[in-house]
Amino acid sequence: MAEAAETGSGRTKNMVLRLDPALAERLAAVAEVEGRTVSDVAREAIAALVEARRKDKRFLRQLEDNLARHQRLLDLLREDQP
Amino acid sequence: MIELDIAGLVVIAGQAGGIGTDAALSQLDIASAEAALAEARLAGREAVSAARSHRRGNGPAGERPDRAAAAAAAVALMRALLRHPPLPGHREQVAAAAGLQFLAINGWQADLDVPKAAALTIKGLASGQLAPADATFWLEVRLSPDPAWPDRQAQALPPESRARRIMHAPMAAVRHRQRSRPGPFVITLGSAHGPAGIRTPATGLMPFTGPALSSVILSGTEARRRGQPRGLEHILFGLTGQDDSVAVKALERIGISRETARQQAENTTSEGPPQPPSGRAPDTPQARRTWRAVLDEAVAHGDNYIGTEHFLLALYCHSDAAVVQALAGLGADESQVRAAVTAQRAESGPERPA
Repeated sequence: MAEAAETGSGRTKNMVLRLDPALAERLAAVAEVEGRTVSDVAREAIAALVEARRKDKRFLRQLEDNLARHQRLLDLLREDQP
Repeated sequence: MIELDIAGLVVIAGQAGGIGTDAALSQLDIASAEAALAEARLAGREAVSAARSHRRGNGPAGERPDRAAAAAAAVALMRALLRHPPLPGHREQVAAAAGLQFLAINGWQADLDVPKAAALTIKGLASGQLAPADATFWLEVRLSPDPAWPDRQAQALPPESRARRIMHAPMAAVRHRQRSRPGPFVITLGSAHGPAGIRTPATGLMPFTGPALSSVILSGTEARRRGQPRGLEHILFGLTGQDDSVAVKALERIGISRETARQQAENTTSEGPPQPPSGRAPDTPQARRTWRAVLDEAVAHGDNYIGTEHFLLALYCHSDAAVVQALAGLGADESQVRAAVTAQRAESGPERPA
């Protein structure tokens, strides 16, 4: 496991990403070339993966079924939220 | 075992938290999410490995993972998400939804008939009061195979894997039967070795009250007498065997006499071929599920015993069952029965362990 760390201020925060070493290197390289933070590049990469997942009908159908089936449980957990 | 990735987690968090995927992505604590998934992955693999050492765990690609391994991995995922919340809020909802979705994509569905008991379990896991192993036992006995899963899974597999799965299917079915074992959920009717009750690793022994034990015995006797496996109607018949139980008193509060309830149980049963007078009547699948709900009702009420009221309430996890419909037709729907049980317990106090 490699770690890619960055330090920020204001609205950003310190973070440590546990990434595959090769992926961490690629993220760092992209960030350096594009003059962006590693976390920005990582978030953009995740956004692309999320977009693909949103088109996964099977996954979404299972999720909808699950949430509907266990709605009462989720409501109870929501009600008790501090 | 199919693992959840960070994109799946974002979609789940967005839906479970009711904030949508875009908001979930913008609020995502990437480091926390990655830490949770890494921790869950490691614990999940250990669970599979432990299951495999008992000749269980993952089979060929595309085969449903073993029940115990799936439960352990789902609990590991929930615990990791509780420890490293990926969103600022909705911690327990996201963990629960992710655990349930993880089970679904691996071919298992959780029958959480008593949501309050499930919520207490997740809260226990979050606070550290419930050990992961105990939560795993709790979940394992509530898992049932998703009947639609092989088809869903086949759609997701590349052709080569699909062919392999089909080739392995008959052997997988045999192996699955061979691996079947009783869950960590033991019902005892009393012996020299200990009192009667339900024992699980998470709860220890939850003893039956006197009326509850009598009901259990009577339900089995009645089922045997009729030559049937024990079903919900026999459980109701057993519950109406005594006139001083909390269950009977609660029904009377709604205006249903013991005799009327007994008659409903009679009306929904039919005679079968004669059975040997001794031996235990097997339970129908509905009755088996009711046992778990009985325990959950007791836990949800904060009780350390199993009383007749827990049995009565547990019947309502089968809202479509004939006997439940019959009770509802008399005005005893679930909400009214719950209210009546609460009122009766407040008035007469709890039943005492046998």
